[in-house]
Amino acid sequence: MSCSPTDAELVTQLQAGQTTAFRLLVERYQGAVYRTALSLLRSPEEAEDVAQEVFVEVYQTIARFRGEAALRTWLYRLATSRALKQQRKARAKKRFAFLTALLGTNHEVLHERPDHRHPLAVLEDQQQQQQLMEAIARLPSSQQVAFTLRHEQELSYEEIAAVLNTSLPAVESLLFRARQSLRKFLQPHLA
Amino acid sequence: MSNPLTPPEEDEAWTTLLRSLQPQAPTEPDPFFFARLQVRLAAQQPQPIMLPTWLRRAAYAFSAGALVLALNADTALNYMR
Repeated sequence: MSCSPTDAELVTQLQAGQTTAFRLLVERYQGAVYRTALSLLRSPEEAEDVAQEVFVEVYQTIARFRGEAALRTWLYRLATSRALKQQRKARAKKRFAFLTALLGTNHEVLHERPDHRHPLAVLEDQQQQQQLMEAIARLPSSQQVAFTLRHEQELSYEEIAAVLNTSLPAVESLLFRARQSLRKFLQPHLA
Repeated sequence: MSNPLTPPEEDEAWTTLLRSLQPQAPTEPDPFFFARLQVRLAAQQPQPIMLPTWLRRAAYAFSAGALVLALNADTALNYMR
């Protein structure tokens, strides 16, 4: 029976140049990194891009990793910071696309995955989801990260504090303010 | 854990709401993620600085060096006259 190495063992093996360790690390964390990026970006393509960037950075800088934070925390930290950077880029691009659309030169085709649920249910869900996602996207970056890590990635308060490199009361405060803003924003829409 | 700002049931309610709104969200990247990552890593490997082919041949490199020295010597001699 083969025993799966711990994160600390994986890091040691990677630092020793074992390529199989890198594959194991990617397989272990690709889902978590991808989902974190996806929850902040809402685009599978951009989330994949960010996930790749994260693992490239891990590969290139693992020699300097001293283990001050847990590997998992470091990966979440890289994923959120890269996703926020991508988000800023996407917003700038969106503004440019809006201007291009005004000039009538945008011929983008959108592809959506098929959905077999009742159209009314889909519509209600989509409307509600859209409203909530828009509200989350409007939150300040730190609140947005704390909120998505808590309620989409289901990380503990302690883990979020480690990822954001802040204290537990600061995380509680961020989440409290995020929920308050969301409630305020959603009330007129959901009434 | 104890959380003085938000009651646990409200904390859980937000998680449930988000989970219910996104039943179709993909939980993993598309298959062959590692293969695509390897391609990207290979593309980002720093390329060694390549000299032109002719400079990599010893004879050409030696001739070029000799020519530079000769021209410098000639210039120095002309200057001294």
